[in-house]
Amino acid sequence: MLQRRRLRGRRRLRRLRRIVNEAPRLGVGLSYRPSFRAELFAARARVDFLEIIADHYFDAPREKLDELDLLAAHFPLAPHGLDLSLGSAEGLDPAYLDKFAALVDRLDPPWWSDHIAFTRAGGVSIGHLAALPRTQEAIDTLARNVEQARRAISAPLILENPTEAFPAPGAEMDEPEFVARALGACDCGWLCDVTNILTNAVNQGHDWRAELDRWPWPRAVQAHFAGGRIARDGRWIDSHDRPAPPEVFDLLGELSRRGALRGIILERDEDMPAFGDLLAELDRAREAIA
Amino acid sequence: MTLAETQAELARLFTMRAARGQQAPDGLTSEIERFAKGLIAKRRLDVAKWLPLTAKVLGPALGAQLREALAEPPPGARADALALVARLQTAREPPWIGELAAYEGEFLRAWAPQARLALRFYRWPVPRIAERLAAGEAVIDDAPSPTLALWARPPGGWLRHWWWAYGGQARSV
Repeated sequence: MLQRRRLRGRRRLRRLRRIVNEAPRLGVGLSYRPSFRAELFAARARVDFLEIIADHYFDAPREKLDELDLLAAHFPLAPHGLDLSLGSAEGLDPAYLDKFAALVDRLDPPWWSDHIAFTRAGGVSIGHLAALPRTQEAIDTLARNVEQARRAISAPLILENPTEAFPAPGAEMDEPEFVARALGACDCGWLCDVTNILTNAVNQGHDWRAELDRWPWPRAVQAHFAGGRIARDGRWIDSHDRPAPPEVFDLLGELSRRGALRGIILERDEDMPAFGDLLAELDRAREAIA
Repeated sequence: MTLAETQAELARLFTMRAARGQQAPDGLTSEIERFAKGLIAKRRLDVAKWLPLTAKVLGPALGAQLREALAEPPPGARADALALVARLQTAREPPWIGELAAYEGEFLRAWAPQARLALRFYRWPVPRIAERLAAGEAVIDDAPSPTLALWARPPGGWLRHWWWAYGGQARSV
């Protein structure tokens, strides 16, 4: 029994080393959107890598897959999923997992990612990420689903901390502890969304600077950053439709000092600015981590 | 409550107006309502991505049209877009909005790897209207003009599209 535990422990350590220490440094890049494809190729040298939304290439027509091959020929790609629903108590959708596995096979990326969240429950597809209740049961469920995903996809999986519209009922721990324990239980690297950390801190009335030592920085592999809107009641809305505010770059700097970050991605989904403005944000991220 | 029960309850509350009217966990009513509104806003943005020209023409009226068209629970962005297309078939302002939505909807239906062949007839020259809208031009003076449009995707191939408007030249896209 003890020997089996030791073996499992060694295997976990090897897996963690593989993703955190041996993953290539991809640099600073963009979450790809077709609307800026032409400008992207014109500014090829200023974008180190791309994250692609995996869901956009499932059941996709030939022209979309040709686009994917074109991107893969010019940039390192990291697929990012939105709807695997790794936190669902009812388990994973095998058809969705198969599509994700086929995409990862096609791209052979250094890692792939999805969220510490659920998008399906009780036969209902929510259509968006919903935060998990911060409980041990949720962590166990997540770990079970991650193990199932690993059996289908051998490339390393990293998990993203989502925004929490509100803490779901029955919370047994705070967010930094939940993320740290979830990543530990799943034995995964961290896709640290710095904007989500700040958004949750502001909306739940926490001081993010006071909590800095409690996040699992050594597990950070990739970061997301984005800007959003501030609602009339002062809440931050993670809308990905504005330039990132200064606090985001402060936290990126902290993350870079505390973890072995391999890549940073700017997410911009709405109100797309001139492509030069996106490149300027990438430069600002590079300065923040220098 | 188990995790499965909590998640199922939250999913129902997030996506079904009637469920929110009946019950919500103590102290979370406003949070759940806010999240549900955010989901509706996201569905609107997703529909606008699938039907960009229709959304552009509708402008602020898109929200009102969608409210009537959106099913509960959410069937997915493409199904939302097709539901809006169906709803707009009775809309008359501008007079070609239903046909424009149907025209964009055909591209959405063709968004799949399978082979496809579709031939559609329109009373208005909606492909030409679509081109002008995409170029940022105002479309206020178009007259009805019988139009045929063809979509063809060979097995494993790219989608091809042709259209012919009465009194105009055939176009291939």
